[in-house]
Amino acid sequence: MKISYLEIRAYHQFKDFTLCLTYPKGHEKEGMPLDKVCLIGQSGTGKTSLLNICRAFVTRDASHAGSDMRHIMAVSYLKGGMKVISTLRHGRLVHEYPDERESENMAHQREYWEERYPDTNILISFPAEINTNLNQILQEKNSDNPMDYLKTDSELAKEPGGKGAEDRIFDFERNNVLEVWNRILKDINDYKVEDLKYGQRTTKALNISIEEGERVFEEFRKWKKDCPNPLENLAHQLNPILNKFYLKIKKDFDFESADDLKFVKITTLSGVEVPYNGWSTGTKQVILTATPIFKLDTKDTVILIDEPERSLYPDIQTGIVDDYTRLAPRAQFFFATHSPIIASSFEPWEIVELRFGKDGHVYREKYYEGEDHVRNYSIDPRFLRWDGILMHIFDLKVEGNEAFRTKALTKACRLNAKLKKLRAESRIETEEGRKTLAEFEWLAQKLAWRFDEKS
Amino acid sequence: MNGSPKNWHGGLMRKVDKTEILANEYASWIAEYEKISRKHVGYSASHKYYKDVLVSLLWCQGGVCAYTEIFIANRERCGPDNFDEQGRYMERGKEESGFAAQLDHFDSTLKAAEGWKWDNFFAVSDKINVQKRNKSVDYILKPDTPEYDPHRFLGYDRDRHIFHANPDLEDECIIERVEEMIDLLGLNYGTIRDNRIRYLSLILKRLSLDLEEPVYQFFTAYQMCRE
Repeated sequence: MKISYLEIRAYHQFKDFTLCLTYPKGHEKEGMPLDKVCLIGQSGTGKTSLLNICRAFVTRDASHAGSDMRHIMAVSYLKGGMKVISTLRHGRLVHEYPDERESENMAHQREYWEERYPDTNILISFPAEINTNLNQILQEKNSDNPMDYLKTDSELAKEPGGKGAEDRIFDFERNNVLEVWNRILKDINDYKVEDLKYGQRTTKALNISIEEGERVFEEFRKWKKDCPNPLENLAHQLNPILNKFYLKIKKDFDFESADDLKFVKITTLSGVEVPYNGWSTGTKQVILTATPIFKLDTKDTVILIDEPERSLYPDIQTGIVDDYTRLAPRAQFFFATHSPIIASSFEPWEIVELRFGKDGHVYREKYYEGEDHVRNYSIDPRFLRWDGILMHIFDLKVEGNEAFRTKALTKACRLNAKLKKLRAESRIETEEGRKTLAEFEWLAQKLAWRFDEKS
Repeated sequence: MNGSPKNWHGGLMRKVDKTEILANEYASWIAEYEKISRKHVGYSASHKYYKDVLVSLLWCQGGVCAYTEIFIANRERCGPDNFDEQGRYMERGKEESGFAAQLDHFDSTLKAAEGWKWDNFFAVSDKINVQKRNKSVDYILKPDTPEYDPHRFLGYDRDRHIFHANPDLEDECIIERVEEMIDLLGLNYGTIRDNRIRYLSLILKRLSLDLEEPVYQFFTAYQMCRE
C-alpha cells in the first residue's frame, strides 16, 4: 500500500490543506504514488504531524494520531490501481474499501488486508531520536549494551504469543524496540545457532572416529553451501556505507560469548572488533536504520524516517537517501529533513515544502506554474548547488555570513574594477597598482577565489 | 493626475521623482503639519494613510523597490485608477491590494517626530526592510535628492552581479561611505542578488543574441551591464 493523497480540513496549523502524492504528467510513473517524499519546512510547520498522520492511516490505528486530529482524509493506492479512502473523524478511523464496504470494524479491516497483503510489512518508522530512544531504554534497564536484552532463538521460542498485524509494524518510536530487533535479526541468529550446532556435532563426531567426523563435516559444508550466511548479504549492502567510517560488518563468528548469538557486530577495516558502546552516534544511526530496511521485506511497505541526516557527516548525507531506497526499492519512503544535502536526492515533485502563509496556516509551496507537468517545474534540487538549495528551497535569505562575505565581495569587485582601469591606463606597475593588486588578492584569498567564479 | 511619471520608463537606481503624490488626502493632511511645524501623529502600519502612502510611492518609483529595484507591482495596481476622487487609496481584495513591500523611513531618526514626512519615505521590498531596521544612514545614496547620481557613486560587476563603489572615486572616505550604504540598503543582499542574477542573466543572454526585451526591474544594474 502506498499513500497517494492527503487532505486535512483542520488540524493545528493546517486548514483545507491537500497533498497530492503522485507523479506529475509527463513522468514515466505519471499518476502512480510517489516512491519517496521529502518533507521540508520551518520548525513548527507540521512535518512530524504529517508523519504521524501517515502512521495512523497506514497502521489503521487511530491511536497513532493525536486525539485532536479531526477530518483528515487519505487515499491509499493498492495493488492493481485500487484505492482505499480512509477518514479520521474525531479520533475514529473509517475506511471505504473498493468493494464499497465502509468499515470501522477492526476485524473486517484485518480480514480485508490479510486477504490482499498477507505477508506485507505494513510500516517501518524511525524517529529522529532513534539513538536516544534506545539509550533511554537501556538506561532504564541499567545497561549500555542492547545485546543484553536481545534474545536467542531458543529464548524467544519459550515466549507465548502469535503473529498478527502488530508483528508487521516496526515502529522504533515505541517501547518494544528490543523485541523488534529480535524479529529483524531472527534469520541471522538462526544461522548462527545452526553454525554453532554443526561445530559441536563435528567435534563430537571426531571423538567417535575420523570417518564420522568427515561425514558430519561434509554435511556442514553442504549446509554452508546451500544456506549462505545472511551476514554476508547484510555486509554486502551495508559495508559501502560503513566503509566511509572505516568500519565493516563482522561476518564470521567466534562464539567467545553469548553476545555472539544476538546482534550484528562490526570491526574496523583492519579487523579490530568495535563493541557497541564504542560505536559513534553516526554508526549507530546507519546500522539501526539500514539493517531493518534491508532485512525486512519492504514490498508495499511505508517507511518513515525523521531527520535522516542526524549525526551524519555531509559526505554520508549525499548518498544516504539513495542507500535507503536501494535497500528497499519497492517501498514508499517519507523523509522529514532540514538538510539541503538530503533534499538534493529528490525529484522536485517529491519535495513537499511546507510554509506558513500570511494567515498563519501552512501551505505547500508549488514548484511549477500552470499544469502539474514535469516540464513546468522551475526548481529542481538535483541541479542546484548546496547554497542554491538553501536559498531556493529552504528559503535562506543569504548565501553565507552576510556580515563578512557580502561586504568583502562588494569591496573585491570594486578593487577588480579599479585594476581593470589601472591596466587600461598602463598603471598596474605603479605603487597604487601594486597596492590595489595586493589588497585584491588578499580579499580574493579570503573568498577562496570563489569570487572569481561567474555566477 | 496625468498618469505618466518618468520612473516607468527605465532610467537608473534610479533617481526617484516623488513630486506627483496620488494620495491627495494624505498630502493635504501632512502639509498642515509641515505648515505649523507640529510633531506628527505617531507612525503606525495600521494608520489609515499607510497604504495610501505606500501605493503612491510605488507609483513614483515605477513599481520597484526604491533601493534594490526588485519588482513589486505593475502600473495597474498602483496607478491613479486605484485612488478615489479625494485621493484615498481604494482597498480591494487580498490579491489586488497585497504588496510584497513596506514603507521605509530612509532616516529612522526622523521617525519619532516626523514619522509621516513624505520626503523621508520610500517603498521598499519586504525582503530587505528587516535588515535595514533603524541603522543610521548616509544621504549620499538617497535616491530622491537633487545631488544623487548613481553613475557618480556606483559601479556594477556584470559577471558577479555585485554593486560596488565607482572605481573612479579617489576619496577613501567617500568610498567607505558608499560601500556602507550599499550594504545598508541591501543592494547585494543574498536573495536580492540571487533574483538579479536569475533575471538579468536571461535578459543579457538574449540581448547577446540580438533579442532585446523590455526590462521591468533592476534598471540600474541592467543599464550598467549595457554600458
